[in-house]
Amino acid sequence: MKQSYFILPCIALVVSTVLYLVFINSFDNFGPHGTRFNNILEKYNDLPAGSILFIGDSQIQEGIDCTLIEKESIETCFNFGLAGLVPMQMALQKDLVIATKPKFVVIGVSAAFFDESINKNEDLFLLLNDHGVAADSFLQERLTDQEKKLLSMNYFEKALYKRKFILPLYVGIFDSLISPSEQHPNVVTNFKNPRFFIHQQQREELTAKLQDPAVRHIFEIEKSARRQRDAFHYFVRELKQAGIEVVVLNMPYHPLVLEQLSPASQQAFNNYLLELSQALNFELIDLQHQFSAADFNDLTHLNAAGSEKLSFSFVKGDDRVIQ
Amino acid sequence: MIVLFNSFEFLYFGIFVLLALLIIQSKKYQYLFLLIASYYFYYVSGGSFFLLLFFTSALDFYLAKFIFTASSDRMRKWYIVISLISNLGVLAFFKYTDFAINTFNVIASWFGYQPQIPFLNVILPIGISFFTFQSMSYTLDVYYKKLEPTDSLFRFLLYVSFFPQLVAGPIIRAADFLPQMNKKIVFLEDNFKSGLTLVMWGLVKKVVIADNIAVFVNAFFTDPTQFAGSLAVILGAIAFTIQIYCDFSAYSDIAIGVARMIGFTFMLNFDKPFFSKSIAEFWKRWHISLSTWFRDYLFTPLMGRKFTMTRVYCSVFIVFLVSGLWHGAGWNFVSWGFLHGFFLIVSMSTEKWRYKFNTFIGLTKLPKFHGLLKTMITLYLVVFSLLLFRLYNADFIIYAARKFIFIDFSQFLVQAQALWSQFQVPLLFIIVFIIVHIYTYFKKGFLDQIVQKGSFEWTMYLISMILIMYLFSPTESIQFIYFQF
Repeated sequence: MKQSYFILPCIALVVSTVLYLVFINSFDNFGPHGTRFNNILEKYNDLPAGSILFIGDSQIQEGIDCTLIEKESIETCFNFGLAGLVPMQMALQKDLVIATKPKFVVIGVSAAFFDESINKNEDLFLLLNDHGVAADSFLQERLTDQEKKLLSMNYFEKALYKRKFILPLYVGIFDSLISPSEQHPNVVTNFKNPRFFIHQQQREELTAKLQDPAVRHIFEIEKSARRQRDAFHYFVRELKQAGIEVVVLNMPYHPLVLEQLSPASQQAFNNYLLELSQALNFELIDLQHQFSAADFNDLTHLNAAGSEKLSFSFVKGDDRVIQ
Repeated sequence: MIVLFNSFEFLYFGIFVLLALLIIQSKKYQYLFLLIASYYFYYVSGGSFFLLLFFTSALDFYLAKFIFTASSDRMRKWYIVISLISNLGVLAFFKYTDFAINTFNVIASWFGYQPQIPFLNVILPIGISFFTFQSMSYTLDVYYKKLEPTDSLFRFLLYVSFFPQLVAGPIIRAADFLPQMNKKIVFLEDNFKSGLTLVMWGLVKKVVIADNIAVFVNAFFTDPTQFAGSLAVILGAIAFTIQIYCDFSAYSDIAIGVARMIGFTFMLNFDKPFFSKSIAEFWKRWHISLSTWFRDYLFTPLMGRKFTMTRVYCSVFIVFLVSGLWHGAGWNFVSWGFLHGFFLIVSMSTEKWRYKFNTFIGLTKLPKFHGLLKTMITLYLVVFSLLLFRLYNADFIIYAARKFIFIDFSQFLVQAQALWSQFQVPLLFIIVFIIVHIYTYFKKGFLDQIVQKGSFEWTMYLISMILIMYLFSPTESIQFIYFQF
C-alpha cells in the first residue's frame, strides 16, 4: 500500500480543521442575546467615562430608554440590560465595569433576576471567557462544573463549542425568509433602547401563566439560588469599594403578579433589598407598585409606554442619578 | 467511561492500533497485540467486567473442544447445555434480575401480596448481549458440526473480544472470523480506503443526523401528552425511527469500516430497511447479524424437521418475543417483539388472500405503485412498533398509539408551526435524512464509487465529512443507543 494513503486522512483532518477555524473565528452570531452580550463586552472598551450604566436582565433591557434620558438631560447613558443574564454573570463583569469609570451603575433587580430555573443562558460564560474574563476565588467557589468549564475552555474547545450556534443561525435566516419575525433585529447593537419582547400578552394568557408553578417559582426570592444573591452582593460591594456609585432599582411587576404573589414573599424580597442597601450603603429605588397593567407586555417586561414612563421618571425624579 | 467511536479517545486509540500493527511484523504478535488492545478497550469501557468476558469466552472455548471430541451424543448434549446455561445464565443474571424482581413484585401485588423484594441493582456489563451471543454461536456451530473448533485460545478470545464490534455488534460468526486470522495483517489500499470511507459515513450519520434529531426525540418521549394532535406523535415516532437507525447503523458502519481498514471483512448489518415491502423483508435488512442469529440458532431448532404452519407461527412468535427481550429488560420491549411477531404471522397467513384481493382490484397491474404502497404500509407498522419500543409509561403508550392510529390533523398548521418554532434543527435533519436516504437507495454503490475515485476526490470526501461534523454536530455527544442492549 502506498504511504500516501496514510497521509491523505491526515491532510484531510488538517485542511478541514483549518477551514473550520477560519470560519468560526469570523463567526460572531450567538443568537440575539449571546450576540448582544458579545457586543456589550466589546463596548466596554470604548465607553466614555462618567456615563450612567444600566445593568440587569431583560427587565432593564426592555424598561430603560436611554435616548429619552439623554434627550431630557445632560447625561450619557447606556442600557446594558440583557435577557437571561444572572447575577453570577453580572458579577464576572465587575472589572470591565470598574475600568470604564461610570458615574453611576444602575442595577435593575427583581426576585426573577435571581432565579436559575427559567432565566438561564450558560453560553454567556463562554463569551465572557472569549473576552478574557476569569472568575476570582469568590466566584470560582460558587460556579458549577459546567460553568467553570465554559469559563476555562481553551481556544480549540471554544471553537468546537461555538458550532452550536451555526445551525440555529442559518435555520433562523431561512425561517425569517418564509415567516418574517416580529422581533426587533437591532437588539444586538442597540445600547440605548434595545427592545426585544414586543408581543403584548392578554390578561387571560398572563393569568394562565401564573397558574404554572414553574412560573410562580421565579417570583419567590426564598426559592432562588443562594449563590446568585451572593454574587449580587459581591458585585455591588466591589463597585462601591472601587468608588463607583451604585443605585439599585426594585423593578416593577405586572399588577397580576403582585395580586397573586403572597405578601410574605413580596415582603421577603423587599426586606432583602432594604437590608442589603443598608449594609452596602447604596441607593434603593422601589418601582414595584408604580406601574399599571397597561404599561406591561407580559408579567415582567414593560412595553414602550411603560419604558418611557420609567425612563422619564429618572429625568424628573428626585434621586441623584440624573442631572 | 465508555469509549465512544465519536470521541477523540477512540481516534487516538485507533491511530495507535493502526501504527502498532504497521510496525509489528510478526503475524503472531500482530494478533496478540490486537487481543491486548481489545481487552484494554473493554477494560476502559467496562472496567473489571473484562474478567467476565474472559471467563465466558474461555469456558466456551473449552466446551467447544469437549463437544468436538466427545465420545457420545449424550456427552455432546451435556456440554452444549453447560455452554447455553452459562452464557444465558450470565446474561439473565446481569440483564434480567431486576426486571424479574419487579415483575414478581407487581404480579404478587395483584393477588394482594406485598413481597417487595428489593432490587439487586445489578450493573449491566457493556456489550454483554452481543458477546454472549457471539460466543454461544461458536459452541452451537461446533455442536451442529458446522465448524471445527480452533486450537488457539487466544484466537478465540480475539474473536469474541475484537474491539470494533465488541460492544454493539455486528454479531460475527466464528466461521467467518477465525479463518481471516490465518493471514498476516497487511494494509491494502482498497481496504483502507473503503474502510475509512465507511467510518466517516457512519460518523456523520451518528453525530450529525442521529444526535441532532435526538433533541426532538428526547423532548417528545419524555411526555408525549404535552404535544396536542397527531402530527407531533407521527413526527416523534418517525424521528425516533430515524435516530435509532442512524445511531445503530452508524455503529455498525464504523465497526465494519475499522475492521476493514485492518483487513477483516464483516457482513453487512443494515441494508436500507426502510425500503422493505414487508415485515419479513424488513428483518432481512435490519440488524441482519442478529436476525440471522435468531434464524439459525432459535427458529431453525424450534422448527425441527416437521414443517407445519402452526409450528412456523409458534416459532416466529417465540423468536420475536425473545428478540424483544434481548433488546431490553422491559415489557415495552417484549410488546414490541410481540407486535412484530403478530405482524409477521398476519402477513404470512393472509398472503394468498391479499394476492387475490390485489389482483381483483387491479393493484398487481401497477407494480410500482403496489410496491410503494407495500413499502409505506411496512414503514407505518415499523414506525408504530417503535413507539412501544421507546415509551415506558402505559398512559403515554395509549395516548401515542391512539394519536398514531386515529390520525387527528385538526389545526394542522398550528401544530406544524408550534413544532417548527421549537424544533427547527431536528426537523430539518429529518428532511435531510429522508433526501439522502432516498438518494443513496436509488444511487446504488454510492460509497463504492467514492472509493474508486482518485486520491484527490477521496481526500475531498474526507474533508467534507470532517467539515460537516465540525459544523453541524451538537456540542454534547450522545452515547450510542445500542450500548444499553
